[in-house]
Amino acid sequence: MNFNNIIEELASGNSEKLGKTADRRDMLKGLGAKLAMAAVPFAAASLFANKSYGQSKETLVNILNYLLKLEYISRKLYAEAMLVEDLLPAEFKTHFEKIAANTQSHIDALKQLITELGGAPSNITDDKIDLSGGRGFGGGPFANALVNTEDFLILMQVLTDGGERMYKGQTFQVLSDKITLGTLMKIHSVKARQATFARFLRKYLLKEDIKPWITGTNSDTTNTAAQRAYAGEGNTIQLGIDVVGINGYQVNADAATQAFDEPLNMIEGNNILERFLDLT
Amino acid sequence: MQEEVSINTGVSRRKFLGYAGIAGAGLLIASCKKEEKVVAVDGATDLGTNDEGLLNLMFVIQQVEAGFYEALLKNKYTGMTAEEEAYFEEMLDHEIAHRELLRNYLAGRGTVVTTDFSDVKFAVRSSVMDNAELIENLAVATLNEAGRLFVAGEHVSLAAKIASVEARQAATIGNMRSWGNFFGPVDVAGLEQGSLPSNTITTINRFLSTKVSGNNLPNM
Repeated sequence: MNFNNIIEELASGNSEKLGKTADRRDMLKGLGAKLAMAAVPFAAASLFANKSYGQSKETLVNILNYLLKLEYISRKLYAEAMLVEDLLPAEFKTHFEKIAANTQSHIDALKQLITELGGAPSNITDDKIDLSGGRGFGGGPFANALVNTEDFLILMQVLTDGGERMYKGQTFQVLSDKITLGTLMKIHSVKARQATFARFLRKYLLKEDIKPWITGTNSDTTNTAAQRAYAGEGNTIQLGIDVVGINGYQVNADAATQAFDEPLNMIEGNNILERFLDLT
Repeated sequence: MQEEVSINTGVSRRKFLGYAGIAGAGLLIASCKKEEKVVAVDGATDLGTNDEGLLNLMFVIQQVEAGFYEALLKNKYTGMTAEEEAYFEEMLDHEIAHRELLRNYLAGRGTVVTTDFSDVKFAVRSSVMDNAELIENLAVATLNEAGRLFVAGEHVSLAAKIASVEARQAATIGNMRSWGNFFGPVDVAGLEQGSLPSNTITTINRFLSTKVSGNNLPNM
């Protein structure tokens, strides 16, 4: 039996029965016994621990519109930066063109998912985006992002390191919609590549001591406004298992945090993004 | 069903959404059916079924990645820079962290493999970089696709937590192999490639002397 058949079976036959709480509980009870025999206790535990059995369309649309905010801000940043003379290294002009094009594609992909779900994609026009991080008043902590290369790269890093973490924080919130989940995963690793590129440019062009990966909660900048993008990155416990010194290997705390990027939840993400929006 | 817009699974998006919440349970139930018994192929070790099988596939990939960096650091190509060596050392630590986490989480049920890197010329930088980029890109693509194949939310989360780090490594290696190459497998739609378990296993077996098979893994 493949996944298709299961879906068909569920779709055709006893879906109403499965939808009722009591029956679902019975089904899960029986399932628990079978799972124990199948020796996948952690999977069973996960199933029972999962509070929701599916996300509503409203929830999914809300998540996708949240991620759209990130993309609109990013789109404006790249578009404006490419217009400023000598801000971006000429050697990597095509890279930024590709990043800008990919950002537009991400917007298109998110909008399409929202439309397919029957929702309305939010639209934030450029005049409502304050790249300085000044909440619409200008003069914010990233006021020089379009003035000098280092500040630009730090903002790009916040939106890509922070961005992949925002996507990551929604992957397991959209479990019931496999199409959305697949798209979020595939955008999310592209953000991580863009973050790597921004970090590389700081090292290569500006000779800064910075790695391709995130170490602890280190933002790798003295701009404290960047810090929110790194909150929670110091975690060394995965699935209840401490990774530091695991099984006697010399995996120190730095390596243990570098090896896993942590999710940002929607509240944390909005705290980062709303700085760049004129919500008045 | 036919009259509706269908995705490539043959299941309409609307029905898919409607039932996906319980499809997870269906996936697990399916593993208990008799016809789903594990069949070994050409002496290959079957990786199992469902979430556990997918985690097992991740475990095998991490063994290959860690083994690769271990081998290359023992057989350094001429002209390896201090920066390159430092990156390889750190990537090895990351892969060991991934591998050991999965080993412990699978609690003795993970498939321990023996690697075979005879196709890699470790003395030749280009051979090292070509293979490193291949393996890293494959890891990202596999995790990207595995995300939606998992049933449990924390397994999706784990795949995502590792995928972005593998993407950072892949981009770093890509740039080492060919200056400026950060976005190799990103398509025109701005999406990174995905790799289904069946495809991943074909490639990963090139680096294994003890082959694996994934005929019972979710693969759609």
